[in-house]
Amino acid sequence: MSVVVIQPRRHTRLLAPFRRSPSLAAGSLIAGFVIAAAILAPVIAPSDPNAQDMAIRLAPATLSHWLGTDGFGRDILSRLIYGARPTLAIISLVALLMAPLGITIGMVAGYYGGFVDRVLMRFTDMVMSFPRLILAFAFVAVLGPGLINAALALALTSWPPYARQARVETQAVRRSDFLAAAEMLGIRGPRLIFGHILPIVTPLAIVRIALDLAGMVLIAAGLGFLGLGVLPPTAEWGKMVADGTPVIFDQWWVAASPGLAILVLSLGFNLIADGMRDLMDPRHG
Amino acid sequence: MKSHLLLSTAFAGLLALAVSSVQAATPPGVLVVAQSIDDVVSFDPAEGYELTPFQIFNNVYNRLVDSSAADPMKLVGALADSWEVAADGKSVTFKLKAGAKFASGNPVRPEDVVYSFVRAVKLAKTPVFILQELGWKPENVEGLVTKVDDSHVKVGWANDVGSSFAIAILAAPIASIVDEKLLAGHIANNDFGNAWLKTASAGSGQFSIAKYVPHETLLLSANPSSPAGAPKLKSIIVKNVADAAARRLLIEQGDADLARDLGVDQIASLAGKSGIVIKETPSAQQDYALFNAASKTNPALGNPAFWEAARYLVDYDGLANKLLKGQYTVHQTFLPVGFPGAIDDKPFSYDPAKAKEILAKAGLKDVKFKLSVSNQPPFPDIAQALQASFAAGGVAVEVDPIVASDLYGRLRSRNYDASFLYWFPDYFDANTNASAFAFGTGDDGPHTVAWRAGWTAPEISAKTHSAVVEQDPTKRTAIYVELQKSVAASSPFVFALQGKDQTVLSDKVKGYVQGITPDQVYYGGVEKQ
Amino acid sequence: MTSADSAANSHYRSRAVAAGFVLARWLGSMAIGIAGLIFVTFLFTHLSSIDPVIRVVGDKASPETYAAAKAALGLDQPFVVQFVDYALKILSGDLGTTWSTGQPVLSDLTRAFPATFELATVAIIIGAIAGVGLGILAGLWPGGWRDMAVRLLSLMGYSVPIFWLGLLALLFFYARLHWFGGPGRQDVLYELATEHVTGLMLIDTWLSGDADAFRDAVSHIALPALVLAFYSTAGIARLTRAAILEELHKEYVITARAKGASQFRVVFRHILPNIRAAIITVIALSYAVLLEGAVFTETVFAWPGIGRYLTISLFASDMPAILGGTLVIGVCFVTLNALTDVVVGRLDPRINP
Repeated sequence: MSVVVIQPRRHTRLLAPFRRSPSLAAGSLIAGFVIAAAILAPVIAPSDPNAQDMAIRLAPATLSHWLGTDGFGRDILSRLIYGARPTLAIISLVALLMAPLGITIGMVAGYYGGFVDRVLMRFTDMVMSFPRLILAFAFVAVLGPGLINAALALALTSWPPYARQARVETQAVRRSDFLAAAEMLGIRGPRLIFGHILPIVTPLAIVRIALDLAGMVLIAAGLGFLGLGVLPPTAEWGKMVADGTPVIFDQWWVAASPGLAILVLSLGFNLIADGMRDLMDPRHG
Repeated sequence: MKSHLLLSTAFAGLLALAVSSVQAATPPGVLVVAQSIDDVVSFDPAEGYELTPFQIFNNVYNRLVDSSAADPMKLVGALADSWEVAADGKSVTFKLKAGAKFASGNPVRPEDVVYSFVRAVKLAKTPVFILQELGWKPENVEGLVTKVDDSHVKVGWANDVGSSFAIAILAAPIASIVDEKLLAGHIANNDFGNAWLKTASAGSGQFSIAKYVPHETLLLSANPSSPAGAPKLKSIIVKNVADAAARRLLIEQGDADLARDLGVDQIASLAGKSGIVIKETPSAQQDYALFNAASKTNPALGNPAFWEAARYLVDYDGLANKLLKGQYTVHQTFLPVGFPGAIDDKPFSYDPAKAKEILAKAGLKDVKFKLSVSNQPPFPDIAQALQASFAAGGVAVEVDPIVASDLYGRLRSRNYDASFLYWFPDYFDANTNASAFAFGTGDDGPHTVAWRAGWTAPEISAKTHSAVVEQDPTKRTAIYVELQKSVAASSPFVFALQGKDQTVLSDKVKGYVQGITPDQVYYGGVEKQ
Repeated sequence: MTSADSAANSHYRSRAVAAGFVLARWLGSMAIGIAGLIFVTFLFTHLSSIDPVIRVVGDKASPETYAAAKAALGLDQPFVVQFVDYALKILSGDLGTTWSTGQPVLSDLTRAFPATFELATVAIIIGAIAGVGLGILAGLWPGGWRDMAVRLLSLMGYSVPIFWLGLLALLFFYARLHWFGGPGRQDVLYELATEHVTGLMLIDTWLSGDADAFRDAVSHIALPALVLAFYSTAGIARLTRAAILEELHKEYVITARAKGASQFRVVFRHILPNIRAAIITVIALSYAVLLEGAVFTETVFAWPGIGRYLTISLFASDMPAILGGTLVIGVCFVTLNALTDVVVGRLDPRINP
């Protein structure tokens, strides 16, 4: 009897957040859709995103090219589908670089306290007060455009909030019995930080990443728009908008659809973030 | 909060005001030019070496001899009334036009001519290499350029060059005659007034620079007392509009009278619109591919079989007639059509199968290279087209769009695989291109474009040299024809395109003349109706 | 001296000490921020692969000309010496000359700054009014259609790529509908007629007394300002709404309502004064973000401010210009951040961590 009751309950628990927050559900659906498109690009894209056909440059939407063609006669829909890849790659790379960097700095500052804490936090505050976007631009201008450099630039300017958060949490657990016990067993220093504090600060950092994703999509697209993102001929949404800029008054569709794609993905992530805030803080509503 | 409400109502009012927009028209007697002027470094003729200053120099300065507006192919006396070549072919004596005055009112004297040339050589800014073709150096120039009497000046040269070549050099923008007396008041730190002249003018042209705001506007006003005659316009406003789509709207809506450098697609959308005239002028700009034959990491690039295959992997027709329709013609030799001695042979066409065959015969497999190009249009586009056409021949190309100066830095240090870039002749003589592309004598010789391509060609270089010293024009031409053919047949260069300048004018504008080289822009005869 | 006097005096003194402390803290964090910026920008110049000599002498210079220019630039000094030189130069106001135009970077930036300042200020005024207004609407009727509409609007504001929004705005409102002026700050017609007194086109054209010129300036700034304001509206609305919701359940609001105060009175007399610190913070932070957003807006609208200056310089890899622009925006940023801390600390001691 009891077994029968528990089964559906577990099931509902897994789906519960989505039920309680339509935003989360809608956002996850959008993000899932874009990620699926990126993975399945070779299967679902109607044609090769880099196949040029000068004879049909800047053609409006037709049956064979649903979203028209760009300045090289390439199929915009295919490029749009493939274009999800670099965007997702950049934001994943940024998340993978910036969160560990920030968390490490925060944990070290919180664990050691005193002078180390003061220096590290002064440094964190300093980087936090910098204009992040502009520094990222200058950084890519120096290192040259490319996916890796763009991600590096964003990661190096976006880690401070993670450090602050990890520091506060580390300070909170610093005096707990659990850590005192670990220290008595002779576990201290890096082993304690990465073995015992890291698991505690990770969940909130992951939540923060989810909240940051939408902003990163926009900045990554912005880098692409300014020509600081991926190299040609790789399709990337920001770059595609830039390519459509010179012909915006006549062939508006070249810039319109990639911009819409950026908007949709960023909206999806924002809905997820909104939903998560709903769940964590009911007042947010 | 009350003040906020007030502000918001005020702003709503302003918006309502704005929404009733006015259809603008440009003022009479004033030519409004929309183009990008972000490239300007200096309007000092001894320093400026970018497109925008070049377009201005002819209108603000005169040289001893100029290409004439009526026939840009012909050199005519400007500040010089007449000239006479010395018997030894080592100097020319110019007789100055009587009564010629600078815009400042100062008379044009032989001293000004001497000063201008000495100044340019001693300042040694970017374009000085043009005057260095005459063998002028800071140590010897004062001995070579001398005042004869109050109306004559003698110009000599130290290098072994012919007199027609020397006179062609004197028609280059850097040989503009500046007003020594005016500049005397603006000298700081022995700079010959260079700091001041960057943003001002001291010439005798039909206009003078009234105001220059970098990245924004250049205002030229008429100089009625110019020895070239009074212009028909009162003033010219060159407005910086960096974006081609915006330039197109300005000319279409009558906010500008002349727009430059519109993209293929903007021109296409303007074609046939009433009130708009698209003026096409052949340009001496040539776009070519360049391979680093001296590359240590990529030996295939130095293989003549690869050079040959590459000639069949450029989609000449696709570039000139589709991607960049109307802005280029196919041209495969190193002298542009319109230049003395130029030939227009087109031995190559896009043929990936043939290229594959050539590569296979030479045992070249899986060739790949990085194509470094300027990040300014249309080069990233051309590079992507080349990427596709080379791929059809089994050659993998990685496109690397970089800032122009970075590109030149890499070419200079031979730190590149390949590039596709443009070239403009520096003066109106075949040697300007021949000495760059057909003169490579190894690391001890001058670092020409051929050197950058790692190309050592002693026989061709010897021929190029013999052409400069040759005094007989027919024989010279014959040598250049031969040179063009051999460079086209086998060299690390693939000449592909020659530019065609499309200037968009309002139909109210009459009398605008433009020539083949970038400095041959003449506003003097322009009038608005 | 009475005891009351001395009490007042000591109170006054302690406030003065507190103010001095806050000022010192502000100056301290600003100094660190600016020093950090100078160091970062210096590192960038060193990492750059671009040969500054070629920037100066050009592509076709002879080897002799090249060598002379290289010596003149003094690139052979050790790292530390170069850094100290660089820092001292910047602190004395010398940002060097650009590689692409040879103009002093400082004079370029002083010319560009008013344009950015004007655009960002008009945008923040629109954003603040719209954001606070919408936030109040949403906060007073939580869960209703107004709330949903505001929430959707702010979601869009957070999600839309501003460069794309700008392009679409130009396409529809300028090219198609002719409602607004096009790219740039003025039509050519007025450009040379307007005397630059303050560098702020709205004020300069107003001073000129030419009503058409003023209208022209308004029609040019309106579109980019609205686009730029969209983003900050989202943040300000969201925060105002959350703050109002929080206050609504507080005792003083309930008391005021029980006393029969109107909705309007409750909001404007009771709630807004209590949440002003939060609102000022978000407006100040949005303003700082606007300065960054200006890079895209100015590029799309050909607005001759620091943002466009930066993108032009980025495209030309003009390091002194990029670093100068970064430094100026960075200093504004650091100052705004520090200033907000202080102002908010004065208004609401609870917020200061």
